[in-house]
Amino acid sequence: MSSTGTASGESRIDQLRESIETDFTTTTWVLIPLGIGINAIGGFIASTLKLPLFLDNIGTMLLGILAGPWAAALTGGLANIVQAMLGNPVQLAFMPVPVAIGLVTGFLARSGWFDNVKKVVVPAIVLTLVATIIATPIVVLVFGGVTSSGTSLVTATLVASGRSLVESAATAQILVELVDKGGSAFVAFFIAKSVPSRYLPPQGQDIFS
Amino acid sequence: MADQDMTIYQPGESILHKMNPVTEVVLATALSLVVFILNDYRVPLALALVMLALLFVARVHRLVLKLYVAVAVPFAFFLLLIQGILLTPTDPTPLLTVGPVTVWQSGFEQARLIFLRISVLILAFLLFATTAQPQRLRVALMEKGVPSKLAYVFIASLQIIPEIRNRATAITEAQQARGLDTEADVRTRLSSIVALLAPLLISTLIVANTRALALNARGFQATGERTYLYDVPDPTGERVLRYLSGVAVLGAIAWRVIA
Repeated sequence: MSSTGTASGESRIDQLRESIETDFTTTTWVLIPLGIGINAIGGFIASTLKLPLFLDNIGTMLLGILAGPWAAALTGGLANIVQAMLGNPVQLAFMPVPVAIGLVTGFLARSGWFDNVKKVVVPAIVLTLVATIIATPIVVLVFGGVTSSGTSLVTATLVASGRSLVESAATAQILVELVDKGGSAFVAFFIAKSVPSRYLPPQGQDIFS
Repeated sequence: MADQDMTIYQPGESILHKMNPVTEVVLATALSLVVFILNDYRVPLALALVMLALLFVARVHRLVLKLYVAVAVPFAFFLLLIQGILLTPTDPTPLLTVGPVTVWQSGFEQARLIFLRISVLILAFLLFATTAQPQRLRVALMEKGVPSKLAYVFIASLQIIPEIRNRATAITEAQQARGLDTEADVRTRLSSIVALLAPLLISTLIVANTRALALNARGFQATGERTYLYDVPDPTGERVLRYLSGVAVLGAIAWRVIA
């Protein structure tokens, strides 16, 4: 019994290792810096178009759609470290959020939720919830409920109306994430779709062919 | 060319610049963890003061203080507003009353603790980012066993951001010349995101394919030992310092559990 147990355990680890290894072709390794670059450029695009969004996870989501969950998680995590090197270390505390966004986008893309525009509604909602659930405890415990100025104003208003800090921070967070992460999911889908398939890595070709 | 990136690294000769970058990362992470584990505001206060002194030792104070103030001032304002004034206090002892506004004692203490903790986090990592040269960091990481591909990705990201930014500016101008309206209604502007990002992604993907071929031709997938252009020393003293910082984190956890 025990020997079969360990054997199946090992094969599960092997499967996981294989799943991770197939994500990381040389093309993927080259795509990751591009994803991080696109994350960093999201804010620039948002301010050019005068939209009240962060759009700082589009690159992570794109990697999730095009190259798979593991590469996307790495992109999200590294993007935060890169931001710290560029003079924005506060984001380091939020590192679990982009890592989770990468994983979730990648697995949803693999199970076909980025096949057409109607289906993207599901990833948009799931990503909003995932981001809120992970970000809210960080906002409350690490930052005492304070994030960027806009979100903090919403939180402050809700606290002033007598709600608890956790409830207020979670409400403010879900409002922001719904617009930002939900919107980003659609943007990532449309961008990935507009890429000619011969430039796509394997997973992207599977999804958009 | 290799040094052309967007990092806030400031060249210098100070003791922090000469330190092994890995030691700096470990110290910054350990100190940030310690201040969040401990509940006493005097620990982050003391550490923040030490780091302020180090800023002047490393001669990076002008840039770091500018970045720090830009984050810390609005943060302090909202923190005091939410924690000190708006949140109903568990212990209603007023600290200060100005007209209809009351700052609560317990809320103020909580805000002070959180503010000092975040200050330590920001200052520690800004000190690291301004004094650790990216290429030295890459070599030091690889010598500590970080896979070479991961190290490549890290440095490539730092270098690619200005390139992507230039490309994004060019694409924005080109699309505006074709009639992209940045003053239109929200719906139109939202759909314009794709008009800006799609050409950016496609053009960088083409570059990525070329880059992948070039990297493979230069032995990117090769296994075996690498030789480095830079030599990053790792003296025993720094090794001890890294172990001590680990011990400090464990000690803080133990203290928190016991006390």
